[in-house]
Amino acid sequence: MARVRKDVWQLPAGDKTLFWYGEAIRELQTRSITDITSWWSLAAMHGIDRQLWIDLGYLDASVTLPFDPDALGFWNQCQHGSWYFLPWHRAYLAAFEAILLDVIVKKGGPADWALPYWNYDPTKPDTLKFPTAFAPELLDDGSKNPLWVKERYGRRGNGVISIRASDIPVSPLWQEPEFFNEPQDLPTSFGGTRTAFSHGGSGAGLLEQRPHGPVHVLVGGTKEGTDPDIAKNNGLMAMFETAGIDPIFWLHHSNIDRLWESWLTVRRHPSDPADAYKNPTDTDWLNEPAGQFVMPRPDGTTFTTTAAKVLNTKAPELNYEYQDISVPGQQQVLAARLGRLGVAPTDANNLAGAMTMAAQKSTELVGESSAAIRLAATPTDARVQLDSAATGKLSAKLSSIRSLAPASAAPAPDRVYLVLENVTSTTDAGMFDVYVNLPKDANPAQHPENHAGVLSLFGARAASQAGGPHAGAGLTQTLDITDIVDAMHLSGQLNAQAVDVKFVPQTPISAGSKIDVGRLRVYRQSR
Amino acid sequence: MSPHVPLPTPLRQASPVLLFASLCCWLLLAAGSEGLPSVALCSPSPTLVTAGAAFSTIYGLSATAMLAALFWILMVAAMTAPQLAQPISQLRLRSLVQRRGRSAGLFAAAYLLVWIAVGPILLAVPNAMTVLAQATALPAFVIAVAIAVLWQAAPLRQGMLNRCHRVPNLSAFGAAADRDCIRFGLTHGLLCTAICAPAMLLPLTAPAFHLPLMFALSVALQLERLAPPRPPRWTWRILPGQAVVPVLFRWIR
Ligand SMILES: [Cu+2]
Repeated sequence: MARVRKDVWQLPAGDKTLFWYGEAIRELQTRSITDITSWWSLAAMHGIDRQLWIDLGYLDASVTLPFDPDALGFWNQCQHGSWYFLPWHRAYLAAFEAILLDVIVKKGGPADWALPYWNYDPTKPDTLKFPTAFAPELLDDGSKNPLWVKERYGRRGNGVISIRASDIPVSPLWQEPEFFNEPQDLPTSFGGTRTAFSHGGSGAGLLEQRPHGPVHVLVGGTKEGTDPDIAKNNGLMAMFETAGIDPIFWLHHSNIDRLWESWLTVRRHPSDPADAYKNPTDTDWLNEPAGQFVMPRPDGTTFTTTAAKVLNTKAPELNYEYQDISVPGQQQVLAARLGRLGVAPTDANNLAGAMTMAAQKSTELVGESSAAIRLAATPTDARVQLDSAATGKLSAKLSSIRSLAPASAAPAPDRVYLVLENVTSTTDAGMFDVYVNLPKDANPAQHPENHAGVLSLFGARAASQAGGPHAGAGLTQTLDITDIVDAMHLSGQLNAQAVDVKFVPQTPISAGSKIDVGRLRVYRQSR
Repeated sequence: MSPHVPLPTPLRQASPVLLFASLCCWLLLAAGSEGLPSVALCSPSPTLVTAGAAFSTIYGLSATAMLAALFWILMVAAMTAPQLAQPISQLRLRSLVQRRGRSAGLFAAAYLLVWIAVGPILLAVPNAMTVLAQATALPAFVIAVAIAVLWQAAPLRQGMLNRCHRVPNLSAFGAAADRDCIRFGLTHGLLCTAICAPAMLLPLTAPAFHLPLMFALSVALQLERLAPPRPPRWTWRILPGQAVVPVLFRWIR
């Protein structure tokens, strides 16, 4: 029987999962960073910044480090902005879990201990709260709580961690049938862009963009009244280089890993085959980059692994499964959309089932902003000019849906994306609400129908370094604005010359911060 | 190629059209250098390029110079066409559908222009090398190898390679769109010449093996361009494309 990774919000009274997690953390934190099974080296594998760790008190300046803290290698290995994001983090979590399990068993704990997960489920507001056991500094007996760290500043910097359902959407994940996208296409896939081994690039898939990024930023945040551009003012979770030090990091990524398992079970329509959503079969995802996923074992040795070796979580090397991988908020989204576009309710469901994937995916530019936008502490407006030929074509395609025969195997109607490209920033700890076509002088909070999604800056700093491996390319984020554009189409506004975009900061931004969106583009995609 | 045989990442980004165009240029070059042994092909020839005088001879309508210029353009096209697949696909994604052809054309023209402009300079270098060789009593080829190796190892060069992976920031509409495509072509051309030129000293200083060396070099530089970005630092990995070779090898096996 595989060990069960449990939902931290559903642990029964008296459950010892978190107690043993804390015991293992205590033990691993006593080990020196020079030991690759220590808490510190495990965190450094995700990322390390020597000076920042010293400033925060997590590293003794006199220690001779076993690896170059500035080099990408065994340390600074984490994969972001890439189709390796999910398999690399799975292998990383499994190696971490094995080391903890080893400690727990030696201390007399259960041999079936497994890392729990924090399921921030947008359909259940209570689960969006910060897991209770991680919050207090001290335990009942007055000892330090091993699950606590000081540097969790939350949304406004006052230590209150508040996450809204709209920060961590999951239903767009269930609408996306492709695991990866090619580098010459938009990063709209579930798992990221086909890249080489990549520590922080611009090809993050949907899951990595949201909910992954916002949870990092909204837990970490920036200490109230301080400058988010200075790394030590930010919470641990808000940066690659410190995230792994916070015990909640591992429950967050456990949930990200769980969402991958959930995604594999999705069927958009009851008539879809059971494996409608599947992992890539390309050997360069399965077996490459050979020798670069390097993981520690409990005995202090290392081994290399690949995506192919972590696909089955119940295999003996991983030996876990999740308590619950059911897919929340999965509705007949396509049928509902067809209904809104004018298909009779009785036909919409049949048509949704009959619709096929287009033989060839096509991505076409519809509009673009004229210049870079500097985001600020107050709401910032931007304008995307639309190409009339492209909006005309889109309009015609959306209108034609109405006249489709109920069982026609036509391709599904185009989806529309707002793409934020070359997002560069002097801080990682920032998040913005993005609204499209908000009525003039409207209060954004009262128009959820215009909310395109959130932009999180997690990972933006590394991607912005002009001298770094990504030459300052910044992040790319893709927001699905299909429903907003459908509404424009239905109200006859799609022939407009432009759409307005508003960025409303959700975290404190300092006057000196340089947060730029290089370009805003609108694309339509048919497939 | 059957869609069921997934290509390794480095080959995915190759464009069959550009590879074919490149192959045609190579064949023309091979045929041309066979049939016209008297035409100095990019090799140091005092009649052809003395102190970058190629352009003036072109304007003077010297037939030999015209032919040499044509050969130079063919050589550039043969060597660089496959490397343009990646920037052109990025440019197409950022162009309105009705402008995609125009954008790619402007980009390619601007790119080629840079190579034509640096041609006389590059072709004059071997003469300078000969002078240097006499002064230092070292063979010119050895000096060329030393310069190429030093440049291969330099962080500045890796930084330039990384910049080649950066997606272009292009305007979509009107004259601004044209201007940005041209600018993208010029920038990309300058990066390419800076990245490749020192390595090209090798064939230029070894006229006997000019064409085969040039071909081998262009394959290696193409593979190198496909390798992922790395932090710019001094490196021992100086063979162009060596990071990609094992991936291709495992794929073939
Ligand atoms: Cu993460």
